[in-house]
Amino acid sequence: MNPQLLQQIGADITALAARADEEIDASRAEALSIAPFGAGHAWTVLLTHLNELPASLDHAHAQMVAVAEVVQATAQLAALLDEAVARVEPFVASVPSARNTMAFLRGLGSALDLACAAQITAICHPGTSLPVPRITDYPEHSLNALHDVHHPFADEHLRELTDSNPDMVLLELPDSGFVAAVGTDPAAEEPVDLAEVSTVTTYVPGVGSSDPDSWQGHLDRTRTLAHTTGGPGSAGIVWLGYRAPDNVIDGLRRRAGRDAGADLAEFSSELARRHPEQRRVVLGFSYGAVVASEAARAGLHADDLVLLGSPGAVVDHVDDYTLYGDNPAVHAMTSPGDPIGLVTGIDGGVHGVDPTSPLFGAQVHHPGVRGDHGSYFREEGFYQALRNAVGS
Amino acid sequence: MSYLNLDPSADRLIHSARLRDRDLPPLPVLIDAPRTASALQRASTRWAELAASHAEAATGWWEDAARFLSTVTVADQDLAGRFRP
Repeated sequence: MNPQLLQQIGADITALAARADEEIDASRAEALSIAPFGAGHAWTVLLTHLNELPASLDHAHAQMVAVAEVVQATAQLAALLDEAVARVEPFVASVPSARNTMAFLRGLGSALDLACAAQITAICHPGTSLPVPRITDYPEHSLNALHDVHHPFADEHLRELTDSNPDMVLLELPDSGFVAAVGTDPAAEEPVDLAEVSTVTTYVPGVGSSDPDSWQGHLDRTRTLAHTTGGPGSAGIVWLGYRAPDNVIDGLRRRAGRDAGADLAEFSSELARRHPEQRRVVLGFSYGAVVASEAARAGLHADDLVLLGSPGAVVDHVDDYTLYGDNPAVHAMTSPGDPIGLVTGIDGGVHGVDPTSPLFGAQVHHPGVRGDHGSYFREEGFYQALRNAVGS
Repeated sequence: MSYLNLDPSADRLIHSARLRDRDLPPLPVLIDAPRTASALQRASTRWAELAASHAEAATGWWEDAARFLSTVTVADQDLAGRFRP
């Protein structure tokens, strides 16, 4: 953020506020000046309206004064940040830790931009929130630098999660969840470097996954999935970029899945833009499989799409998906004991046909388990089956 | 109390208030911070709308004031004509 430009805008807003104040005073003076020239009911009503004229400008004037203060405070912080960048910059080429510090400072610049924008929005449009920052909004930042952008805005629960999972890299921070990368080693002490891995597995959880108490479990599961599909040198991403349904009944709604699918498709596209050489696996479980299916319908950058315990494939045939990848394949797995099959079938349920039905055209694999909807991730048999299906 | 003080300066005041420019200048939002720029742009648009709404309301009420003055003046002259012997 350029502090001089911010200072100038702050001054411009102050000048605008002064101009609004002049107009308010002039309007009130005009109403007063005309008052002695008439009398009677109509005249009184007219004067009341003329006196009330500047009310809307009063409101705007108060906003301008507050916004000018925010912008000027931001300019001071941006100047401090510039100073810090200037001190670190000479060492970037020779001192490895200086590169990290520089990435952190650039992250702070983005965080400052976001905080300033949030404050302006709160002043001028109370009750509305800013659009969720997506990775596409930070094309100049490395994926790992995004962690520093989002971390200051994470709630207490998410901060505890990042503290206890040092390999975790926050990529997006939607209102009701998070999108984060982890490595395959639960004991790792350093953030996973997404630029260095050959395979990235994105896991999209389903019903109930927006409950913060479930998040540690999703991180652990993602590490194991990433290790299974890509080996030890790979990474996983927990994609909770949507408000997952709280229960199975809410999970019957299609709208949330459609919107989330479009976001997942965009996210995956940005991963591919940044690291086109990487292999990408997307695994959607339960309602997450609906989200992944919606993304595939919109156009998903994935070499392998796995629909696990899916309540419906959204489209009638696998050819209706658009996957961008090397020989992309769609895999479907549902346990024989999983009652999710009851909400779908060959003819389709709320979310479309069962992706394990032969007519759908996916590669159907036995999931290695025979239990209910919650049995997949509890048993090694599932991971073995997944390894056989999509392991590198 | 007279219903209307027929002072010609009232007409001048109303005329001047009706025609006075009440617009606020646009806010230039040239900045390298995309989210702040976007939030400022929205704020600026909102302020311009409020200023335009103020100007439109002012024009309306000052036109009513002019109409009031004109109506009462014409009525006064009409009555004066009728009462003249």
